[in-house]
Amino acid sequence: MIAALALVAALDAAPADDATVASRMQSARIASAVTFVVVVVGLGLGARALSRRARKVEDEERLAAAFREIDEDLSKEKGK
Amino acid sequence: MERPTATFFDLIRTQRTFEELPKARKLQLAAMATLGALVFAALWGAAAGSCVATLALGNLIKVPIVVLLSAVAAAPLGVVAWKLLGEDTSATDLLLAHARSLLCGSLLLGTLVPIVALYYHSSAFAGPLLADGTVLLSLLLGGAVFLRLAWRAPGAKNKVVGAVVPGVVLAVQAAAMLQLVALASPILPDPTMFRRGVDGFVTSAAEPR
Repeated sequence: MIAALALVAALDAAPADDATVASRMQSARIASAVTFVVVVVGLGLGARALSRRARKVEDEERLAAAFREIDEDLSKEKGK
Repeated sequence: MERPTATFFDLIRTQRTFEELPKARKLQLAAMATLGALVFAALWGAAAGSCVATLALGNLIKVPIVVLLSAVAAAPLGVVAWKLLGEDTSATDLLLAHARSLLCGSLLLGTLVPIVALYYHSSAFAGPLLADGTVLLSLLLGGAVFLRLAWRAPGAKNKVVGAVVPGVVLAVQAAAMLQLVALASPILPDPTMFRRGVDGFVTSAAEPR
């Protein structure tokens, strides 16, 4: 029933006239330009912030690995 | 322990998975790959519109808009489906695969800039054909790279998910791209079937022969 009504509504829907479509497209152009600028700035700033965070994580991992190595060496020496 | 590194060429090598990198580094690479893709797309746009100075200048921003916003339009559906259908799938891996595929497709456009500009200036017949051809080639390459990277993503154990989700993302991206091309038109100096978006297809199909 709902599908039939939707089909009738779709078939009955009149396409927007050229002036309406042109006006909508103008709004969409502005919206896409603004979105583009926002996303590009976000990607740039995000990349910088992520780089800092990644460096921190990698440094922590390196530090943890170094401590593990020292621990292993010490336990080997104790074993001797 | 050495700090893990990734070069530009690592990003376009599909054998490289970046499994060893932390999540933040992967996301940073995704952002850098996307920004790199925009640069190559802008170069191609300038070359394709180089017959008309205003078109070439406009294309420096129009073509990157088409590339970026089509990807942004498709990404949310992909991430949700990827997390929902996969078990150990990581959204970061999907985003990185998507960004790397954008970079590969745009890089192909970027490498063909000289030939596109040359043909647009020297041939009325081959210029538009070559421009359209390079776009189709880059779309095919980008799509293939995305499918391959998503298929080989570390958490994508279910191979149906690894193939279907990127396929759906590519379909949504193509649909968005079609309408974004209509919004950004004219991109090429000559009219193409994509200039009016989906309306162009419907009108040309409905027109009596």
